[in-house]
Amino acid sequence: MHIEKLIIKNFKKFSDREFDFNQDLNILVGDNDSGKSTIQEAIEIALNCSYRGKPLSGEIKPELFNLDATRTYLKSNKSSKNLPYIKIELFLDGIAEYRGQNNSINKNSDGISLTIKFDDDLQAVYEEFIKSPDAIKSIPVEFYKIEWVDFAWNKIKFLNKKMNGLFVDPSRLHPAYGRNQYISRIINSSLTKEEQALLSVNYRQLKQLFNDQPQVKLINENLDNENIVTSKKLEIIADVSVSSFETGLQLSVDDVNLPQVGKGEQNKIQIKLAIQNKASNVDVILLEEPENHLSHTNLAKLVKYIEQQRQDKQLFITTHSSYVLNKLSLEKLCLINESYIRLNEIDKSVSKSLKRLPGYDTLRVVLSQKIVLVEGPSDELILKRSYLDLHDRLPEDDGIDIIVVRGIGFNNYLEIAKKVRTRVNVLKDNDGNHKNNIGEYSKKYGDCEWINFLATPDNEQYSLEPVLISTNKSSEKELDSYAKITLSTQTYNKYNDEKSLDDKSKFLVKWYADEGGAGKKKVDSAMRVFEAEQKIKYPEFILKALSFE
Amino acid sequence: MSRKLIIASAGAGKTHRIISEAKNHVAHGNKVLVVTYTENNQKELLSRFTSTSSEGQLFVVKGLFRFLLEDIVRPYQSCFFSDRIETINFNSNGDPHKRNGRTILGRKELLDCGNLNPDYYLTKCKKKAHTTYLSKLAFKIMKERENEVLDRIESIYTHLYFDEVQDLVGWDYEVLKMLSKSKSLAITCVGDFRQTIYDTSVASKGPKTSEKKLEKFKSIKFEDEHLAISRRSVQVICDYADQIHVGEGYKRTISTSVDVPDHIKNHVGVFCVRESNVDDYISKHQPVLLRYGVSSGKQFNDMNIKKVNFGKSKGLGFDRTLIIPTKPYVRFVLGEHRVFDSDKTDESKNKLYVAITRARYSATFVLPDNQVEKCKLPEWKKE
Repeated sequence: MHIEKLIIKNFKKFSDREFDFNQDLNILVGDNDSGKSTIQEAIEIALNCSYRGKPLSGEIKPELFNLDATRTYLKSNKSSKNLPYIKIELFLDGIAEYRGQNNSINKNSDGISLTIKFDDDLQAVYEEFIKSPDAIKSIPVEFYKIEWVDFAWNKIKFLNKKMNGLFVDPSRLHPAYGRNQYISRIINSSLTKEEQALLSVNYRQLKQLFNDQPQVKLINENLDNENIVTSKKLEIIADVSVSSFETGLQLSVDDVNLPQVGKGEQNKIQIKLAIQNKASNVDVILLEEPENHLSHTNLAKLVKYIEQQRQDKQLFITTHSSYVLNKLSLEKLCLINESYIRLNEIDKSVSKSLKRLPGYDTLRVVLSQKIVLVEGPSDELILKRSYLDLHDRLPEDDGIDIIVVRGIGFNNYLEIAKKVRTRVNVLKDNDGNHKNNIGEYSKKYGDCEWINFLATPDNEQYSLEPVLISTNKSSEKELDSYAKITLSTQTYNKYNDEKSLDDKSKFLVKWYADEGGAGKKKVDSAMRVFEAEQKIKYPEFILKALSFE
Repeated sequence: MSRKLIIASAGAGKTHRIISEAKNHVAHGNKVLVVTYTENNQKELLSRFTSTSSEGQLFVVKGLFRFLLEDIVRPYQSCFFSDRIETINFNSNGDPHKRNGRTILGRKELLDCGNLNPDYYLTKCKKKAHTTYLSKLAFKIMKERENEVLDRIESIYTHLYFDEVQDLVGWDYEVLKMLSKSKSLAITCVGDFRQTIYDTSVASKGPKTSEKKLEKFKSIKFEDEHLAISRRSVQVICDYADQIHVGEGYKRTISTSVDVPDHIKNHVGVFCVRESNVDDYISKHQPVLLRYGVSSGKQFNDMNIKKVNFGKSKGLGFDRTLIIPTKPYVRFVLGEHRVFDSDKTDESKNKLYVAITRARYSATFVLPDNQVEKCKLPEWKKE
């Protein structure tokens, strides 16, 4: 069973939005505050009737309501008809009991609908309450109730619900954490210090007794006997600390309780245990930013584990890591933005090559508004300096992101931009054949007005350096100045041996074209340009590459 | 797929039959729904199944109204009514639209615009469905959303059982007819038409009598199977009970309860006892007293024995019963076997059938002392 579609009304960021999902993996990506976590929360609410691990009934707060909906209510006469409701609908497949037509798009489908709405039974009390309407500054959630039904409009009961979700949120260590604190407060307030100490001692002895039971030992031996979850020793132990007196049990890693071990290890263990799901009672797993607190090698291992052990569970992962995205497959991306975009139809070869080369920064293409794709680091430096000369600030200050495509070529980035509709300017060398390398190449993206190719048509100027040389040779003085900036003193002296402007220009072109260290020469020159006090001249198409009018 | 109507005798073990068939289906991974009328029967079915099987997920028991509401009406009610129907309104007095025999204004089935009138099917708040018209509403929704309703039920269940079908009437049968259009559902109806003692509907829609109901089953292509056995009563009692509906096409009920415990053997069969001997009879045999209602046989109210009304005794079994007959029953016992022929309904006749078939070993009628001589039944006497 899977979630096929989610409809959210008046919940947090979303006043009315619809999201379609993949049956296996959904990698939720978006800028900060775009609503990635809100989607996960909505799914948890509808599946489990709980909010971040706690029963929803205790968590209905004004903050859950969409701001626009709240404002509309507060501006109104505040009658009960104007009270906003939150509605979350999950369209599912594979649970015929939940099938019916009772959803907001009137579609015959399996599904769950959870509504937080005004409780009609409280109408009389509410009438009394709004007699002084100006005193009401937020949604009066005390008058709300939860209606949790399937699309057949039959009530869902927690104990025999057909689909279960698990929200793994490493920042919230344990679902019972808050409760433990609550219990410890009661114990502390009702016992003398001596009594607390006695209790603690006795509990500690009890714990040891428990841990030493042969059957408990056997269970612990089998818990992670192949060291799949962690290379360290994982055990279930009776917890001694009074603060967790009520639940009494805690995970321990190498004799250290889970809340005290490193954040990365906590994160990894929680995620792995969730994915492993030995009880197989979970159909949907919600993971928040699995990359948190993990080193690159640990993240690589974790992502591999997720990929291999997922089985038929449906996963919703939020991430800011291109590595996680590429490795788990780019085609599973769900971009939450002004519009909702999935890459499930992207060219398979693109997602395949990025799976093999997950180090590339695909998320930047997805998340940036304005992108300039360039061949190499020298292009990036030159572009930045040209922008600085013109605007007195760097491109990134204006939200322009320059990406060096390096080995994998423009194609992979452009395929993404094609679907996501990120505005991209491509600054590409013509490599001596403008017709083929620019003209033909760009035809593939001819329909995409948001993708522009910038290059010089002059085949002589096959790459950036010949272009700059030719732009800066209106006089010998100008070329000398250019050479002075870009060349080391040693090379400049050789350059200076040339007599005419033409020879000097030829010397420069040849110098960059020479085999051996060409890449380094280019970067060194570009670095000098970037740091120089004097400015150089730039051709029109380079300046255009940074303009997104 | 199979459409079967099992016509059972009292004590034939309908529940036993349903449970054993269901277990077989469930063992093959199929999902079974049993729809029945009384709450007692629902509990009985569930506890019998769960006590011997762990596959409770695949065996579902629902009352008729719950089935209609959850599996037919609610999923597609939006084609008629937009507010969620939260529950049923049980019409214990029959037609909710009649007051002093006259129809209340504004309770017609259709509005002038041709739409269904919510006040006909639902209570004023539009959140409760009148039970009297629930199957009619279910039928209307199935008409409107035939494929969706069937498809949904087919996706959940493979086998449907309707128990106690003798108690279904009118629109219930139309719903059954719609369900029987399914190409994949196996539907089995189990009924004991001689035990119809209450009317589930007051609506004028037929079929209402057992005869018409059996005809209806034939017309929607259900195949008969007679389960003419009694796992409860000894043969003498079966034979005596069969005489009540003689000539109505039922087969002779064969007793399969052959073992009579030794301490019982001294008194087995159908008897009469004169009123003046009742005290002795009770102290000797400790029977369960069966009566029409609390007002019948008042003189026995103080007796320290279990007392059950005919209507409530359905499905129950006792070693020995002591029956307080109504006036027509007395005439029957005295040999007037056609005494019920002029009745408008089968209620009285069927209650007698229920009463007699409760006993495993002995059923004894209480007769006034002066009537005993005329009775052909053997009389129980003090030693």
